[in-house]
Amino acid sequence: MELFGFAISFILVKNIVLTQFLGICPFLGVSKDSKNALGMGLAVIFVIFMSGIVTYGIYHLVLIPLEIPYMRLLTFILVIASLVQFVEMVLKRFIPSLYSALGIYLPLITTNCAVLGVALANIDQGFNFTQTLVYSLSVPIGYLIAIYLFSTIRERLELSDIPTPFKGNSIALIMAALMALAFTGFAGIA
Amino acid sequence: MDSIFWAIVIGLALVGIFITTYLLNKNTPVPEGCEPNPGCEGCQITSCVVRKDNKEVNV
Repeated sequence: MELFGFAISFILVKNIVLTQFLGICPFLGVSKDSKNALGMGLAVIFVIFMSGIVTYGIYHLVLIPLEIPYMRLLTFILVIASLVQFVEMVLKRFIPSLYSALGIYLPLITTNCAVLGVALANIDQGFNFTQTLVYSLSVPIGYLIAIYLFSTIRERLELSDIPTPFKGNSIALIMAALMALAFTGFAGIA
Repeated sequence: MDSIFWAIVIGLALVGIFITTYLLNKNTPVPEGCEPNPGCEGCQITSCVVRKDNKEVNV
């Protein structure tokens, strides 16, 4: 039950995009179409979950025993970049349907700072392995919910009569701010 | 001193792993039926390697 509250907290209340402002670039860039937003969200779930587990293992089993914890930033960046390449290769070879569905969004995840943010937060906040698993899964689920909802709003905005100065990213950022305000309403349940 | 040695070893090993995975991925053929990536038009970063305009130039 405690872990459930922990997960809900990071999915809704402390949503990584709307409260910590991580992963804003793909949030704005890939949210013009709800289908693309869904693909990006699924790819982010997969990569953040995998990289969270791998980086947690490397930090506690390699960097700490060798007394080089200061190497974690460089290590995590290279691990995430390698993991994305590896995942893309495996999908190409064994699961072409998923590779086709994720398309261009898989390599783009390398530059998503939410992935590195989760890997670093697992260490900084002193999570144990179970908490790392839950955190690494709940944060990208929150990302998926936020980007998908945002994309559906943007699709409706395309059909709306918006004053010229507000068109494009201006109105998108205002909508993101309103969404962030709305998500603070979940604070009472977690 | 040991710590610096291990830091260099780990750093080089990770760079090696990245280069290996990059080359393996690059040499893995795209499966039949999967259309080549059309390129991304999501943001305004013109130097991005996956951007549609850059992909067209590279081809």
